[in-house]
Amino acid sequence: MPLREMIDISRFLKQVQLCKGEVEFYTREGDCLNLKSALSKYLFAAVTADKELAHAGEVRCQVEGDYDLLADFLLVN
Amino acid sequence: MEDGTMLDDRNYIKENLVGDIPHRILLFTQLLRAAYKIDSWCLGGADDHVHLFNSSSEHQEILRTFLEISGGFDFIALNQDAQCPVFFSDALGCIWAGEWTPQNAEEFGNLLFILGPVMYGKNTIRNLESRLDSLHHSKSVRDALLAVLQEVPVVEPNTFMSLGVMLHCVLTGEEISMADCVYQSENTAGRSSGEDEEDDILHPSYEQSSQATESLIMRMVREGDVDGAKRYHGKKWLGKPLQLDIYDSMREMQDTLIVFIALCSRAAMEGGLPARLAKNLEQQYISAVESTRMPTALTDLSMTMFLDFTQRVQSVRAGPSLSRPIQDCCAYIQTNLLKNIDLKTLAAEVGYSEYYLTKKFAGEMGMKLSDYIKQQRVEYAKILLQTTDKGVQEISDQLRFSSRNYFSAVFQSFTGMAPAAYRAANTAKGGSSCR
Repeated sequence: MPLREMIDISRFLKQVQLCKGEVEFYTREGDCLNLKSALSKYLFAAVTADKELAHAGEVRCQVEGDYDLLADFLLVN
Repeated sequence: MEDGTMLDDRNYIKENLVGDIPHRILLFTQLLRAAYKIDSWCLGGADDHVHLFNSSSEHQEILRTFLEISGGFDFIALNQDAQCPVFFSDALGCIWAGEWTPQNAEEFGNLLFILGPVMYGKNTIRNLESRLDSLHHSKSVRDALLAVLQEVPVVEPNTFMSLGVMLHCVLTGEEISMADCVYQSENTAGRSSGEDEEDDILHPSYEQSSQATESLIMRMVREGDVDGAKRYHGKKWLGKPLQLDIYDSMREMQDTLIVFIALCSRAAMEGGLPARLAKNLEQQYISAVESTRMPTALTDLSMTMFLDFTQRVQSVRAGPSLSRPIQDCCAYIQTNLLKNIDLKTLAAEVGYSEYYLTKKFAGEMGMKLSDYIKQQRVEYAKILLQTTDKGVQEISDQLRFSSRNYFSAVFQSFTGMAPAAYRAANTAKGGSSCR
């Protein structure tokens, strides 16, 4: 699911830590960032500072229930 | 701490801090920017609502996010009562320093001033580039991060720590030393559960003692000059920069500290510390260096080690009244704390009967032999609690206590606090001796 606009990235990443499974961010160019990895968090923060890159990407949760935890930050179809 | 409204309000600082502090802060931040390109930040707020009042950073939004996900806020909040500069590292290898204002600003409470980020060596960015190469991300992802980090200034550790001391002076008017600052260590890093540890990158460069500095430090250790050591380690850290930039900077920093430990150990032996004890201490501290992954923790460890050797030499030199066999007995105990120590072996080691050794030991030392062994194990446990992230059970087992409960009871009887409480108290405020 794509990210909402104007979200607080650090709050979103804290919420990701509460997810049971892996949470990944896929960029338009096919990069996969594991949002529970320390380095990838910084990459994600850098990428999402560019609004165009941020909204062209997609968040995927391995555990379906984790989408509920991130609902405030994701655009539900 | 969570995000709140981002403000850019220098007037708030001017209106809510009294005296000439606002003027001093603004001048200091301008000087930092002009001389070192170091950014400064002023924040305030409660746990769930943080305001950024002012920042000199050109990458304000993204670096603020970096600061928030570094866990540094939590570490600084934990040390608010310390009333001194707090240094911490993030997973990229950048270093930050912060301190709370002593005055309450209305609505937002104490304000927090942060300096950074800086890097301690050029290798930090080079190694990060290598790490990113290995991940095979697209150019746009890679460049998004590197574009920000390439603007981060490289500053020598001594210089950055001095700026932290200056920040304290700006905020309070008080003069302090580097030893009064708090340095984040491994077990105060506060890694989130589930966070991947493998890709943390910490690469500061380091420093090496010049010959004159080295001679001065070694003299202090050799002579057990604790007062001199306390004065010295608060002022300067290890002399001239090495700055070889030939390999991993964190490794370089660790290697330099290992050399320093070996030199202190040698000087302590020359000062009268029994060789086996000195070598044992040397191994303990080298193990701690090898298990350390944070530059700020190495600073803390270096100061602890330097004072520990110096204080032990002072103790040896102050107590020449002990007979040689009892000195040997103490040295044997101190070097075999991780093994079972039985009276029969001890007696054989010093050439006395078991009965005579216990009597003579109690007579000279003023305590039972068994109590001395417990005391020394507690001293060792203190070092492990301060410098490693080993659990209480593991430390209890390592030091041959029959159970965790018994270890905790013995530890409490000597220190007045439980092991976990001791760790919490002594790792939040860095630079304290492990004695």
